[in-house]
Parts: sequence; structure tokens; C-alpha cells
Amino acid sequence: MSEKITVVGKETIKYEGLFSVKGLYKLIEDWEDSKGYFPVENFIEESVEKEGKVITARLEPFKKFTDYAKAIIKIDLMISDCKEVEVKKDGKTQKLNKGKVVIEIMSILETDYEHKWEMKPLLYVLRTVFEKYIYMPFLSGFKNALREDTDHLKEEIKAFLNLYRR
Amino acid sequence: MIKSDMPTMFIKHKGIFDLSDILQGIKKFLEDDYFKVHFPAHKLKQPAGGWEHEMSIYGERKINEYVKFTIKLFIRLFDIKDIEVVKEGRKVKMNSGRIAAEISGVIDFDFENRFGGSKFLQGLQDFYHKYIIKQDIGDVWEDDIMLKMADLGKLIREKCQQDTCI
Repeated sequence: MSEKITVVGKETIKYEGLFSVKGLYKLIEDWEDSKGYFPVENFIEESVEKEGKVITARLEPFKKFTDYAKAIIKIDLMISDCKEVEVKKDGKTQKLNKGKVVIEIMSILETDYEHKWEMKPLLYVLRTVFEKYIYMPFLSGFKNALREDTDHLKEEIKAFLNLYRR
Repeated sequence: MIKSDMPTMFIKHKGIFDLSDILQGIKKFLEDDYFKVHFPAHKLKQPAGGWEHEMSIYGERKINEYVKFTIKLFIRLFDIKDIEVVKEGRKVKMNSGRIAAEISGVIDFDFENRFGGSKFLQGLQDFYHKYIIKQDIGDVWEDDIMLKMADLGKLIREKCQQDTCI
């Protein structure tokens, strides 16, 4: 079995007010693209309710550092009571959304994702030795890079939502 | 024959959509990408709340003599009702209800089973996978099928007019 190390535990961003669903989604997609993450959309649900739209999305973009280590960022996006509103900005009418946003982000470093080191007991022991005494500096480098990426994404989302704060 | 399964993608939507447009869109998307489209199963029920559909669709494409992509779709529709919507001054027939789509993908290696004959051929295939086409599997074909699955998911979301579709 591949080993999954939680590098950044679940962190939550909460926001209520004006924002753009399309803009938020585009921001995440553009960020994935710019950082070299492969976009994976595991689950997307959108339903129209009386109080407004409810959108739930689970994204798991990943980046392969090497053949041995892979970074995964889990993004849970929950938008509720989402209504379309028209806002006047600089004399122009803009279509935006109003609602509640909860975004949960956590990141994981997966090692031996190709399951190459688990075929035989000897290989498994070798893998532990390899990870502890040879690959450790590389692994901590990957962890730092993943931590930086996660923080950057969080800051980007916060900055984006703050744009619409009044 | 060796198979490589891709992670399944789930899409749910509750609201108004045009079912025939979605199905035609899926067929066109796959056919435009040189997939052979099959509709192996379709169940239809009419309980009190509205129509219920269950349908399987899959598309197959031979990438070369050794690699074949299969994209499978399982679509469930609940509480489907026919409604009329005024769109740009014209009455349009649409559907309201819930739709749940599962998109999965498989890469078949050696789909003609040419390497299944003897121990020598199996060893040769192992060598071929590990040392000759390893990069193609991980970086070309797996990425390619996952991007096609993501695009298909995007198309369904676009047809449902979901806000997260950009």
C-alpha cells in the first residue's frame, strides 16, 4: 500500500456575501494550471433549492514530484444559499452571486504511489531504510514545497473573496 | 490483457436541463474524438413522482495496436418531468429533475492478447511496460484519458448550465 502523509491538516475558509462562483472556480483551475497540478474533479453536485443554489465540489489536483512521491491537494468546496444578483460597479452592471462559501483544504504527500516497493517483504524493509536514511532530505523538500503550494492557494482564495467584501 | 483503471468522477445536478441535448452532446463529444459509442443498457420506469431512467454508455478508441481507451458513463435520472420554458422569446421543451452521472475510464494494454501466449512473452511484456513505455503510460496515456474524462464531465455540467462550469 502506498503511504499517505498529511502535510497540511484540514484548514477551513469561510465567507458569506458577494462573490462570483465562476470566478472562484476559475481561480482554482488557473492556480492548478500555473503550479503544474493535474486537475481532478472527483465529485460535483449542483442543485436548485428554494433558498438558492447549493454547490458541492470535491477536487483532488495532484502533482508527481518523482516516480516515488506525489503531492495531492484535497479541496472541498461547499456553497449554499447561492443567488444571482446584479451589482453596479463603476457605472456598469455586473452579475455576481451572493451566498455562503465554505472551503476546506488539506494536502497529502503520497509515497510509493506506483506500489513498486511492496511486492516482497525484503523490498518493504529496504523501502523503510531508503526513506529514513537516503530519501529523507528529498521528502522534506517535497513536504515544504507542498506546504508552500497549499498556503499559496489558501491566500489566493482569501484574496479573491476579499475583493468582493464590502 | 492488463487494465489500468482511472478514478471515477461523479456529477450530480438538480434543476432544469435538456436531456436529449445532454445525450446528443455526449455522443457527439465521443464521436468527434474518434470513439466508437455503444449504448448497452437503458432502463425506464414511471413511478408516481416522475420518470426514472438508468443508462449506460461507453466509448472505445484504439490508440494504437497495443493501447485502447474506454470511457464509461452511467447516468441515473430521477423525478424527470417534461416542462416548457420560454427561452429568448420561444417556448422550448426541457426536463426538470435530478441527474447523477458517473464517468470512469479504463486503459487496456494488449487488448488483442498477443503477449498472453507463453512465459517468455509475458516476461517480454513486463520488460516492455517497465523500461520502454513506462513514461508513455504515466505521462501520456493516463493524463490523456483523464483529461478526456474531465472534458466530458465539463460538457455535461455545461449542458446542465452549472455555475462551476467555465
